[in-house]
Amino acid sequence: MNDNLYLMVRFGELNTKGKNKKDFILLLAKNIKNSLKDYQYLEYDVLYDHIYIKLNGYNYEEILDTLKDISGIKKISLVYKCEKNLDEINNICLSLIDQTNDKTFKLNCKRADKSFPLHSDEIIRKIATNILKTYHLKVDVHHPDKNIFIEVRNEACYVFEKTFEGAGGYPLGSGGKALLMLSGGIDSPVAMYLMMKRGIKIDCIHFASPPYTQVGVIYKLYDLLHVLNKYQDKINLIIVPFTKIQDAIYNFCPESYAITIMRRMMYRISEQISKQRKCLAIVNGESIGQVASQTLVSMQTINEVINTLVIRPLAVFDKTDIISIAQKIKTYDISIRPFEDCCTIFTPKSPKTAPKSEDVSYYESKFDWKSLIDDAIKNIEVKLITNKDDDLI
Amino acid sequence: MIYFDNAASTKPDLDILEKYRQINEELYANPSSLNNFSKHCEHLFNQTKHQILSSLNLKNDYDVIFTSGASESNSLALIGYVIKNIKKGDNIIVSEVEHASILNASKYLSEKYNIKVSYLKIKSDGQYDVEHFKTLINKKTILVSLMLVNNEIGTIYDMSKIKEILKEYPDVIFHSDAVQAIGKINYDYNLFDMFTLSGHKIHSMKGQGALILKKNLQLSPLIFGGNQQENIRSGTLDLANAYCLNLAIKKAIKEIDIHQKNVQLIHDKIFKYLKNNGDLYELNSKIDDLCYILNFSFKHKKASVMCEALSLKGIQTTTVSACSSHVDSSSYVVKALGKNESIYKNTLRISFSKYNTLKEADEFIDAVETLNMEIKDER
Repeated sequence: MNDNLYLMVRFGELNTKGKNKKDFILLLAKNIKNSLKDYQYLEYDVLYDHIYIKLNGYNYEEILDTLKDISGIKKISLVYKCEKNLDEINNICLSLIDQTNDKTFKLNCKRADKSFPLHSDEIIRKIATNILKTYHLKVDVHHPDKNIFIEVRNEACYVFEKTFEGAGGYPLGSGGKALLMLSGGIDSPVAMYLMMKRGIKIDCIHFASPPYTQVGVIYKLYDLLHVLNKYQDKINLIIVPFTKIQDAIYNFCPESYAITIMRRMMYRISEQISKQRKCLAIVNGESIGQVASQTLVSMQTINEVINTLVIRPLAVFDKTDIISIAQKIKTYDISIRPFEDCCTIFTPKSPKTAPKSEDVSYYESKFDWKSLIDDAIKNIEVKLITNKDDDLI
Repeated sequence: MIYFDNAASTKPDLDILEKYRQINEELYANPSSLNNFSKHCEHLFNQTKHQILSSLNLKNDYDVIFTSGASESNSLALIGYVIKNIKKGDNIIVSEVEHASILNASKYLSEKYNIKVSYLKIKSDGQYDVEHFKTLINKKTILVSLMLVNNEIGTIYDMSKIKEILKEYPDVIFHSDAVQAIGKINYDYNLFDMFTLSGHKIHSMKGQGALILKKNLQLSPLIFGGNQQENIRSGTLDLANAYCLNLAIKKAIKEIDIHQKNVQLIHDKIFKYLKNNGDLYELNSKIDDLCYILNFSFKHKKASVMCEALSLKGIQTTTVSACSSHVDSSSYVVKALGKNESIYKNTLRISFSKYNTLKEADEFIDAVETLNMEIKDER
């Protein structure tokens, strides 16, 4: 029985992709194989409608746990593959019945291969008759104890009862790459996860202001990214030395404008880095109204310094919803570790919630921020965070 | 020297010893201190935990508490859990063949905290008596601790039926002393709420143990101090010991199949010899037990004399487990199998590792054959 056991992977929104569908499927197959590379005896059938993974004796639950985190998969079923032959289908259906616990059953059939001589209804009727003859079971089409699905496809027939939800979205990498502004708080890792789920590969940028910010923040980021390695196995973390810029802002600009100007500097740096690294957009965890720099007026004043597309996946999310995603993807406990980042240090007592563009430009003209930015970009540090179980020491 | 006492302790791997030296030389900061050197060490310490959980193929909801060894881990699991959760019930179940640390911690709980300790019997085939288990478990049971592989005779216990029964008691915590199983059998440790492992049984050093436990479990500490390790086990975090334990686990699990093949050959050779000479020896281990441990009794010789004589010939074995040897020379595990006194008082345990060879098996057989002629029958 076990050598015909497969996991059937169904695609999410790929069915809307028309001509590109094949590329998406090949990319998804590549991502799946990469995530499952430790299971060397798995075999893959990559077909136009589904991907089939032959288990060859591996425990399906372990494989399933990995598949559930791969974006682009809608559903996964544990299937028995057999010849398109009524006797074989019948045998598998009989073997799925648990005589002690199942009192009722239901059969469902899909016949994708229209050349198969029996219609779906006829298949159901023949097999149901056999089950009724063999076991003391009744048919219940509303609340069956055992719900069996039969799919007759061109290449073979598949029988299954269990189907599991996948992550949805698109295969990672299918949407290109974006640069995410990662602070270490609760929001940015969630924004990152939502983008990856949508098929976008992520590079991360972090602004560090030592000694005002602690090195502990960087370790916190490593830990966060290790968690997110589940969805993207190699993540680049770009650390920008931001202390000199922050010092200059506080020396030359009024306190109430400090956050606005700091964010503008971060955007400018992010734009240059994203161009260098061929990222198609900048992503951050901003959510409208959450803090002074995230009012619509502030966001406009900040955003206007760059031309790159900025995506804010959390723009309209409530904090409680963001937290529940963070808990689900297991970044929350790391995010709440108490370290100060660039945004929480030097927090002014009364920041501007509606900073005027002209005022901000005036204050910025008081110091040579361009060379400070060039200097910061020259001194970035890039770390590759992977889930490879390398020796740490 | 032929070292056939690997269930007592193993030879540390050189790369692990070297790593221990290197970490103490380079990464000696206190990981809980506040400078950046300490933070670096703390990060590595946390990563080490993750690597252990990943090597053991555990899902995210487990945590690692590093201890001084398996005895501390077992004591912490039993005493720490029971004291903290005594309001939930006052019965615990352990098997009669557990390691001394479980039996003595249970005894302590019974004497000091009035906990009712039930002892699960084993059947003559060595397996846990599931029917007996059903009569022991009840609504007041809060903890069950059953070892996964027996340290004296090598039985690999079948936990499936026990686990099935425990499904009806979802509040009962299931702990296992998995010391002799880690790196020797492929096993799904997600079955347990807590389990114990030890470094020096898998070619790392003494002083390294861990209790792996589900994150939501509440335990009282046995050691008090600076509240390290979630306040369950205080004491300066020891990166070198933690990391070496991690390395040893990683290597042991990765290499299970490779070493098992070799050890199985050694085991089978000696097993076959003992079986073919049933007039001289009584086998206490079965052929399908863990191949790393082989226990038998001399029918006509005193085991302590044979052990001494073998040792003089350079072959290191033991009569009963090292942790029971100070108490009594008879094996309570073999006794529990239902064997008679002359058998359970004269057991010899030989235990293997990846460093043993087939040639050593031949030498061992030659040595016992010679000794059989040289040493007088005593009984």
